[in-house]
Amino acid sequence: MRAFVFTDKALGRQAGRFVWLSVNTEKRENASLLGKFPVKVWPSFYVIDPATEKIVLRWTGGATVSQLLHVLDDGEKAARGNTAPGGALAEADRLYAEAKYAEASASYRKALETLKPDAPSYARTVESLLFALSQSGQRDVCAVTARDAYPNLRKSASAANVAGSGLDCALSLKDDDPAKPEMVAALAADAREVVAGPKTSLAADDVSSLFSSLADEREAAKDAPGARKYLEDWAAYLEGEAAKAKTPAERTVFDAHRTSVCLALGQPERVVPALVASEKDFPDDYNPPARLAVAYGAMKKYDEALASSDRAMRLAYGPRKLLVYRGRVDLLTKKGDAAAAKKTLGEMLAYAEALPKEQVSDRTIASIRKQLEAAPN
Amino acid sequence: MRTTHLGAALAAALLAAPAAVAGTSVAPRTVLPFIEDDYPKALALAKAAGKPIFFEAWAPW
Repeated sequence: MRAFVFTDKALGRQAGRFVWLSVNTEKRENASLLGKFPVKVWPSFYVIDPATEKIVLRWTGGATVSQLLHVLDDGEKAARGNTAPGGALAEADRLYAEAKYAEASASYRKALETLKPDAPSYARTVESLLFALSQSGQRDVCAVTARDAYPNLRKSASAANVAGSGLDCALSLKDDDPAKPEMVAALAADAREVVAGPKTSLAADDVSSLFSSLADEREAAKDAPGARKYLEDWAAYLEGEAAKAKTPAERTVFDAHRTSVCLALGQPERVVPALVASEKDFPDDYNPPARLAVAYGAMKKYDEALASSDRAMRLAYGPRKLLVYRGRVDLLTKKGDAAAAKKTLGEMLAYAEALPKEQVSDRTIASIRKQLEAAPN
Repeated sequence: MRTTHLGAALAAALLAAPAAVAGTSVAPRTVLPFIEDDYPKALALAKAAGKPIFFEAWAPW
């Protein structure tokens, strides 16, 4: 989003419509703001009415420019108390903004009954509904909704997300659910159509997630070669997108998924050159050395991995630093250095306990403590 | 829009969080006049101008 969408000239014309605020949720000074506007998915976008300081519209995850323009239109209307194009949609947006997903999904479904597929809010409504259904555990309705909406959206920016969200919901149905095989088959076919077609108008994270879902689907079907084929295609897609990047900032956004897919393929060495380049381009960013630590660890090169972890630890801050600690504990454990692993766990616990409460859950702290107590000396 | 669907072990190894490919700790040149990490300032400006706030929550990963 930051590297691609907010740099698009088409958005420049929107500048005067809102006051634009960007909040780094890792920073300690933003912790109290997160108490007021909780963030559970990154990135998240809220439209806030300054008079009431309430969220009137919420969008979670990445978006393309065209999707974002619809969000801006509907958000502006919602902030003005203009409930068009229908009371149910405004009500749904309000409930969704409050993270009342079960209630929001009921209102979104009501809104969809009156929205024609070519209405400006249709795609956004379907995507928000799918997220609300998934979050409220209504996996069966999620799969059916995605299957039914996909034909209306197959040529839109929402195609990848609708097919992928639907497929994830279908895959998570219980195995004895009689509807499962048909749902999985239909949504996997939709997902295959998206990855086989032109992808230029789709958000890269949606496409990337789709390859992941298709690999999961093959794995669930006990088709190991089929699953591997999608992992290969996924890696090739990400490497191709990274090669097209015009700037190092655009290229480095693919590092996270490239790391995960190369690990899944059992080829951690494949991502190392990209991560080394990112660390060189962005020497203040903890992410490249943190990912290098994981990749070298998977290659059993523990000394390089720990040196990378050291560099990441010096740069990391906020709640995500816990992931660097966790990675280090794993490395030390695999290396067979139980004493150092335990010492790191102790440091991790102290760090977690010192974080503002808005940035770390009691559950996370309890789990670190439990791990520390169980750790061998 | 949705969380990335990956195996738990993989997700832990990933060092990326729930959502997206598209996040970076590097601040690229944006075409929008974002105020960084200053909600009181954004709120005051929004009240004065009668405009809603567009709030982007991000994290460096």
